[in-house]
Amino acid sequence: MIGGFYLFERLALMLVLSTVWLFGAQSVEVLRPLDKSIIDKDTVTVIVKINDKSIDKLKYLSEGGDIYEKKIDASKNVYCKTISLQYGTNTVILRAYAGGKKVFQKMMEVFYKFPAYRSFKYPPAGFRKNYFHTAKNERMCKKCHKMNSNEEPGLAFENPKDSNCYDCHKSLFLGKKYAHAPSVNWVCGACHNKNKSIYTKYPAPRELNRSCFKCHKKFRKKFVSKKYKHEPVAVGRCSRCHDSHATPNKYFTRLEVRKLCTTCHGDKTAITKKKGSKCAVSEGGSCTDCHNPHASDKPFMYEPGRHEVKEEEKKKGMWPDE
Amino acid sequence: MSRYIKIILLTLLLAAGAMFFFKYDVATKLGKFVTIMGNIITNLQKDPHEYYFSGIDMNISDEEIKEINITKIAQEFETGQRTKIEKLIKRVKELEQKLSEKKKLDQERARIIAEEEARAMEAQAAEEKKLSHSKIEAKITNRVRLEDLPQKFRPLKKYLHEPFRMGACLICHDGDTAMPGKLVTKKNIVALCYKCHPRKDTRRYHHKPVEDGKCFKCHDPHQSNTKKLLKGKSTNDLCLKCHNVTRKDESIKKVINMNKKYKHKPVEKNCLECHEHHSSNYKKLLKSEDGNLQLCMKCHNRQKMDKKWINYKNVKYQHGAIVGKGKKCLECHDPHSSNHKKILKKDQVGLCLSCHNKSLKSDEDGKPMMNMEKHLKTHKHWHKPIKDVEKEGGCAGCHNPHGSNHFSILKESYTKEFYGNFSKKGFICFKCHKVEKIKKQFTTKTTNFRDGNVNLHFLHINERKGRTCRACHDEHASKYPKLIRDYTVFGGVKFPLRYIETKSGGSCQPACHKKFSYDRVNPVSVGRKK
Repeated sequence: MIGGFYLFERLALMLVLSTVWLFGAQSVEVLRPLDKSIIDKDTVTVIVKINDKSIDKLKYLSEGGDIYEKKIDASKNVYCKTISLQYGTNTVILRAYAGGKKVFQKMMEVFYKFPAYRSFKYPPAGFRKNYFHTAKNERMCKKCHKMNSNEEPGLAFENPKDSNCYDCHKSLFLGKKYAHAPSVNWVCGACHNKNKSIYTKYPAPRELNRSCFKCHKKFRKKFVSKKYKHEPVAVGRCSRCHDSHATPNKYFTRLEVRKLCTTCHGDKTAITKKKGSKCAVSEGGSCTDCHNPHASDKPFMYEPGRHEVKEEEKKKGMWPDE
Repeated sequence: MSRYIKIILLTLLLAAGAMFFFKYDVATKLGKFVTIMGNIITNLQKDPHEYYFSGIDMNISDEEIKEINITKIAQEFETGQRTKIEKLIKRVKELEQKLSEKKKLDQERARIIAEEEARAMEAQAAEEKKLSHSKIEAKITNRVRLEDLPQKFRPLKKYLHEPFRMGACLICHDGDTAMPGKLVTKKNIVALCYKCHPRKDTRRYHHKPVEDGKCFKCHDPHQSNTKKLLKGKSTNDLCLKCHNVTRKDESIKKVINMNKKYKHKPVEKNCLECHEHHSSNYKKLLKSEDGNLQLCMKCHNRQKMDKKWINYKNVKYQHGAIVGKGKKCLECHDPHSSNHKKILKKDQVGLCLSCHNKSLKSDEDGKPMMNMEKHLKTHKHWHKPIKDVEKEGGCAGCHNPHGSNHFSILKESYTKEFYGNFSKKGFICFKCHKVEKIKKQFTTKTTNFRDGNVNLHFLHINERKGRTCRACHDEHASKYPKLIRDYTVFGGVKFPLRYIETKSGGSCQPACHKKFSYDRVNPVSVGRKK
C-alpha cells in the first residue's frame, strides 16, 4: 500500500518538473540582479545568459533614463553590463532584440541603500540583500573571471591592475576624486576577510569601528576621552557618514559636509543668521568650521578654539543673550 | 503543436492531483501523515544539529562528554605545575653549584697568582744573593783584563754582560780544558743561565726559545748595543727576525706582514706593549687575558688617548660584537696590520655584512633586524656611503660600531616616526645633506624634487603633519632611484610607492595620495590648496 503511494507521488513530481522545464526554458535568463534586492553601491551589474542564438542586441534602461546597448556575437553566452543607479528604488529594464524585433523584456526592482539619507536608509518591505560571492555563483563566472583572491596578506600590489578583484570592482572608483588607501590599492582582504560568514566569501566587517580603529588609532584615543560624542561615533558606525572605498568629497564623506549634516539635522542657517553669527552662515562656510563632527568637550560639540572667540563676541554684544 | 502538448500535460497533471486527493480515504491519509512525521522525528534524533548551519560542525557526541573528567584534568594540571616548580628548583640548585664552583676556581686562581708572585720575589732575592755571590767568586778567580780579550770582542759595545765586564770569563767558561771557549757545564745553556738568573718558564705559556732553552737566540752572552743584551737593533727588530711573513721558515706560523698599509702603533714601536717576552699565563703570550677588553682598554681609554678613546661602556646602546661572547675587538680589527683603514680585517662594508648577513636579534628591543646583505643584494640603488666606502666611510659613516647613545648605534639623532618636526638639531642626515633642500619654499637649485620652482620637499615636510625622511626614503638601499623606499608601512600593510623617474621629473603613487607627478621644466601644479 505504501509502496504504491510512493510510486504515485514520484509520478506526480515528475509531471510537475516536466511542466516547469517546458514553460521555463526562456530565450534570455537574467542571473543578476535578482528582483527586489538591496545594493550598497551606486552601480549594479546586470548579468544575462542568452539561450536563443538569434538574439543580436541587448538594451538596458536605468531609472535615471540612461540607455545602454550591447551587441551580441556567438562567441559567448553570458554578458555583464554595469549600470548606474539612483538613491532608493530603481527599476532596471532589460530588452533583447532579434533582427530589430523585441523578443524579450524584463523589469527588475533594485534598492540602492544610502545610509546618509534617512529616506534611503531603510528599504521597503520585501527587499533583501543577495550576496554574490557564493560557491554557486562563482562557478558561473569562472570561465571569464578569476574568482580567487590573489592577495598576499599585508602587502599591496605593485600594479593595482594585477588584483583579481580589479576586473569586476573597478567601477568603485569611477569619477571619484578621493579614494581610501586600502581600497584603491586593492588590499581588500584587510577588511573583507575577518569573520566567517555562511552567506558570502568576502563579508564586510560587522563592527565597523573596530576595523577602522585598526589603522586610525589616534581617533580612538581622541573619542574615548571626550564628554560628548556624535551619535554615529558613539554607536561605532563610521560608515554612516564616510564611505570606506571612494567618494568625490574630502575625508571620504558620503556627501559634502553641509549637505551631509543637514540630512539629519535640518538646515539651521536661518536660525544662526538671526543670531548674528557670521562664519557658519557665510556662503563658503561649513558646519565643521565651528562644530566637531566626532566628539567634543564643549556643548553643541563646538571646536575648542571657536567657542572662545564667540564668547569675546558675546562681550561685545554681537550675540544676544540666550 | 507544442501548445497542444502543454495543454494535454497540464490536464494530465490536474488529473493526477485529483486522483491523489480522492483515491485514499481519511484513515489511510492519517496513517501516511503519522509515518512521515515519524520519519522526520527519527531523522532529527540522528543528527540533531545538522539543520542549523550546514557549514559549521557543532557536534559533540555523548561519548566525548562522558570522557571529560574534571577531577582528572585538575590532577594533570596540578602535577604539571609541580613538575614546573621542581624543574625551577633544580635549575636554581645547578646555578648555585656553578656559582660555588666558579668561586672556588677564582680562589684557586688568586692563590696561584699569589704563590707565583711570592716565588718571583724569592727568585729575585736569590738572584741578588747569587750575583753578589758570583762577584765574590769572580774576585777570587783570575780576571782577564780588557786588553787581553780576543780580537772579535773589540771595540766594546754599549751594554756588557756583568761577568764579561768584570773579565770573569771563568764563571761560564772552563779555563782548564785545552779548548778555549768551551763552556763549564756540559748539559745546556739554560742550566748555566739559570744558575744566576731566575727561571723564565714559570708561567703557563712559554715563548718557543724559552721552552727549548735557547737563550742565545735573542740574547748575546757577551755584549750588545741594545738593552738587555739583545741581538737585534731594537726589540721589534729582534721579534721580526722570526715573526715575519717574508721569512721563508714555515715552522713559525705566527707571523706579521709589515708591508701592509695600516699598522697598529705598538707593532711599529714595541711588541712588548701587548705581549710578554718569556712566558705568560695567557694565550699568545699576552699581557692580560685574550678576548677580554682589558688589554685594549689599557691604552684606548679616555686618559691616555682622547681621540681614539673607545667608549663602549657608558652608552645607551652597545654593539653586540663588543659586548657579546665573541672575540670582542678582534672580531673586526686585526691587532697587527691591515690594508684597510682602522686596521680592519676586511673592507668596511664587507666586514659588517659578515655578521649582518642574517636577521640578527636586536639588543635594543629584541626584534629581528634586517638581513642587510640580502637587502643590499636585491636592491640596486645604494646610499652613497655604502657605495663609496673609501671616501664616505661605509656603514661607519652613520653608525658608530663601538656604541652610541642614539638608537641603532647611530652617530647622531634620527627618528623612528612617520610624522615629525624638523626643528631638531643634530639630525644625522644634515651632516652631509643641505638643510636648504628642505627648508626653502621656492628654489631652482638646491633640490631636484621640485615642480617648476616649488620645492616639493618643503610641501611634504612643513604642512600640518610633517613627514620625516624615513617616510619616503630608505636609508640603505632601494629598488627605485633616489633611495625612494619600496614600501611605506601603514596600518600593518605594505604599500608600494610606485615611483617612476622621468628626464626632468617623475611621479609617485603611494598610499598617501593618488598618482602625482612633477616636472622641473614644465611644471604640473600638484600643490594642494590649504
